[in-house]
Amino acid sequence: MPDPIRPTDSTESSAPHEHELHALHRLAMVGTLAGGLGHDLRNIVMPVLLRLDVLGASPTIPPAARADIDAIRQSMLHLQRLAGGLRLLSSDPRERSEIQYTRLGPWWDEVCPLVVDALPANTVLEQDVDASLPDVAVPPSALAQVIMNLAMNASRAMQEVARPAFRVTAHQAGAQVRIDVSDNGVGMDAETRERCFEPFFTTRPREQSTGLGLSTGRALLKSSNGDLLVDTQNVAGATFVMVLPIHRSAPPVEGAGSRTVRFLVRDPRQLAVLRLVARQRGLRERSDGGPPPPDFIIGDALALAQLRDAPGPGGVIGASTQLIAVGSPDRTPGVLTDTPWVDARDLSSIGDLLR
Amino acid sequence: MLATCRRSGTFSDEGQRTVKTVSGASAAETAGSFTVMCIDDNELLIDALERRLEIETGFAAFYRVDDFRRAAEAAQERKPSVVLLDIDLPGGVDAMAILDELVARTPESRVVILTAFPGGALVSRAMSAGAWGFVSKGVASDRLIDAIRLVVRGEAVIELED
Repeated sequence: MPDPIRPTDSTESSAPHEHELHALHRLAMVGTLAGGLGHDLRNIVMPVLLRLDVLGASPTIPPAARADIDAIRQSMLHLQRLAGGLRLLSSDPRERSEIQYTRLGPWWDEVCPLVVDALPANTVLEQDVDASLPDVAVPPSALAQVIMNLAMNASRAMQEVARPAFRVTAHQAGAQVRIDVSDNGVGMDAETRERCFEPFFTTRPREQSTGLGLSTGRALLKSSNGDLLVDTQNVAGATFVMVLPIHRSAPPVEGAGSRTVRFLVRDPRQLAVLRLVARQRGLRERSDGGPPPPDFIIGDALALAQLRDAPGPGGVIGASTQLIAVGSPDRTPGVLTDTPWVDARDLSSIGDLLR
Repeated sequence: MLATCRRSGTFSDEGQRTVKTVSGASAAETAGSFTVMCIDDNELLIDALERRLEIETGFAAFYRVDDFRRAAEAAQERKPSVVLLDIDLPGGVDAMAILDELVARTPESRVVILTAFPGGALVSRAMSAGAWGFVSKGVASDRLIDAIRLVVRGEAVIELED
């Protein structure tokens, strides 16, 4: 998608030059600003939503004003999504605290306004990102950064196009989801297609481009066992394909086939965190103790010990059911010698056991 | 009256709001009403939140904290049902340290963490440290109000955007 106007000299060193470092520095600043802007937007939007609640609750509001309130609320919710998209753009997907899978429908809702803003004003956007697609095992921030880079490249490639068009379509292909991203811009010549994923390769003046967008995007997706490909068959414009592995716990069909978990944890705060982590890994909670046995039972050490010694009506443990205890380093290992356990003071580590 | 804490709310008689905590139940559960203290530097949010809570059944009083470094002291004085604590406080104030102090000094007040940009590890850290709730400022306003009500009832809540 970079303009095929000024191919880089193939003899040029791939080491960054001073102007490239300057551009990187500028990018880092823009990233920080984007994060700050998203943060501030949220701090403004929430008070407005709260005030709209108060206005809407008044019994004396005339119908026309109520319609205005609803319209303002919709605008605010759009801003809120925009703030979420800015957060995704400014986050580091490699951070351990980042959620490592993406629900594509809500992700696209957040990112789409940013993509639209990046494209020329008269661009026709064709989109098909169905909410029923399975979750993918790639952080949402990585996906956001890749598609924003593709949108910005497309924007430049379509500058001279009378009727610019940008297309984002996602579909499942076996154990992957593929997102095709295409534009009707000037396209790429053979050499550009060949080299576009090389670090620091750019077809634009050095002071305008780092040449790192596509190579970084491909590296981000590859680090999640995905890939970023260029469609070499595409003649008019350019098409890139984001290849994304399906999240391991994601059910093939909505609500069916997903792995299950049962909780035997008394502390409501611990339970809330455990439910969050389990949900983020696509596990479905079982509240009953009947058959079939769940894939995981996570519980207080004593509760698990009692359940294991006397299964009865308290719950069913199957041959493949994995027990995980929640406890403390000074007591739990003594209660359950052969059961993996997590420290109640750092429950985020339980994600590593839910594989 | 603490210099660090300003009160506003629907009751003028402070005696009406003083309810003794019994057997682990919060004061609010016992009385059927609840009070909220907000530790945040965003005046727009604080004012709007107070107005919004005023139309909630059972809401009794709202406290705002001017001096974050004395927030735990203010909470100990007022014993609010729920303390909303912004994790991103200005001036190098460590909100997690405030959380620790609140949990130690006012266990009957349940802390709900507010943040504009939630992170997975932060949720776990805060809840493990004793917070009862963790709410992103990116959720719809009714989810924030619902979270406060659920925490008052003794349920732990994590509300992040989908």
